[in-house]
Amino acid sequence: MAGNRRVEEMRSRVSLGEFGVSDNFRIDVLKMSAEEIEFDMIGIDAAIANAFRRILLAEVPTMAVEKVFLYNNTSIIQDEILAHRLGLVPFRADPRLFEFRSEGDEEGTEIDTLQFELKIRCSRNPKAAKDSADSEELYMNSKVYTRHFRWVPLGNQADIYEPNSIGPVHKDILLAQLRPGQEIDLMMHCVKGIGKDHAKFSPVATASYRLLPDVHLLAPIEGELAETLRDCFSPGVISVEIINGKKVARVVNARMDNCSREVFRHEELKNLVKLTRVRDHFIFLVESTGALSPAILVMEAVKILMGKCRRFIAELDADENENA
Amino acid sequence: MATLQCTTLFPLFFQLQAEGVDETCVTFVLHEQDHTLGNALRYMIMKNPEVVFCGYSITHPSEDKINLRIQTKGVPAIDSFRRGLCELTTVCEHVLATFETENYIFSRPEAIGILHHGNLIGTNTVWNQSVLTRTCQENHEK
Repeated sequence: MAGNRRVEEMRSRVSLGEFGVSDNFRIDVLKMSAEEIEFDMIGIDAAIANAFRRILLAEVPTMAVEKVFLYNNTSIIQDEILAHRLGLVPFRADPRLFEFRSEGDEEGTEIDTLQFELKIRCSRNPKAAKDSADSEELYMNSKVYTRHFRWVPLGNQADIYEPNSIGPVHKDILLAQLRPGQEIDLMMHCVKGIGKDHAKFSPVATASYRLLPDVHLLAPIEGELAETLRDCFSPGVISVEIINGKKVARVVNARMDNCSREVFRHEELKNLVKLTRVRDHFIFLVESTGALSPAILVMEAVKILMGKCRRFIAELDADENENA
Repeated sequence: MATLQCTTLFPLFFQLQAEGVDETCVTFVLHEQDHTLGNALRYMIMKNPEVVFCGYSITHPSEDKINLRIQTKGVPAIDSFRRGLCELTTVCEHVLATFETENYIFSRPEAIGILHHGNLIGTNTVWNQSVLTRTCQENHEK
């Protein structure tokens, strides 16, 4: 029966050994920098790879501005627009050292809040040239950047954190523009949250994966056709080599293919190439916004999935003990 | 088995009886979960040969819960639910351990990236030599 066949195919699609995952499972880190990591996960199923991706986007916590206390805002940027922009600024603070704020807690404590102050006033620059038109020259503090934030340590935070280690990730994000006489005076509370609640809490610029493309040549392709084939794909996928005086095409690096499927537009090449994907080879690309390094984000995501499973196992145990 | 109710402060799940007094066909309602856990758990539970049917659904997108239904040949469904959870935890532990090892190897100063057929493979430290050879072989087979 077709149903049984499908179930069997699903059960055996990715073989898991005695301990859950057999030797077939591999992770290869290809590129790693402070902002980005590119790694391959081979031998795992799409359901779990997707779970990791979803957790990276929505459930790894970060610190972001939640409450803005405005004392004075005479700029032309409205209060709520300014507050919205402040919320989206990424902060360099390790969220694992903080706790979530409990419900209904208005005052921030040192364990769940970071406080920043922004106090800036624009004035005319007396030393500017008479006929200059550049606002940078004419006015002082006409542009409000994130480097104007000042950290206000709460409780014992000054002893725990270095003053330069807490602050916005980028110092040159433009928040507002001012003209002489305008001023902004506000206090912001940064709390821990997850992307599910608001996208500002998402720790990744983006986290995505693609499957490794698989290019198979069904018949030997020689001569001019080999050159055409090579030009149909992204550079580096197909190489044309001279064997016994003839040009022969060979698939060198299917990974570099960006799946344009140009080959199917050529009548003579259409039936000689099979384009598929390797079903259990995932190429992940995770870009961090700066709070945590991307490798740490991936590890946190895996730990969060483990945490979910463990919570339910604990629930099951608690139930059993009650009814025993 | 009568309907169970969790008595913890935040009830995470409770069991719904579906087919009379039968513990092999059960629908679990998991609160505050979505496709993230639902799909991964469904996949792990289906791997169990005792399970005849396993599926999950989000009853309404505005409600934050999933229905997970398990039907087994004879084993109590709650056991295969627990087994699926344990196996998923094991998979996660294995992934974490593998990733941490790879991460450590990659960031060691003596590890250098090498180019092979225009493909940046990764490190070529002695430990990883078998991985390197395997990747080279795969490329040759194509």
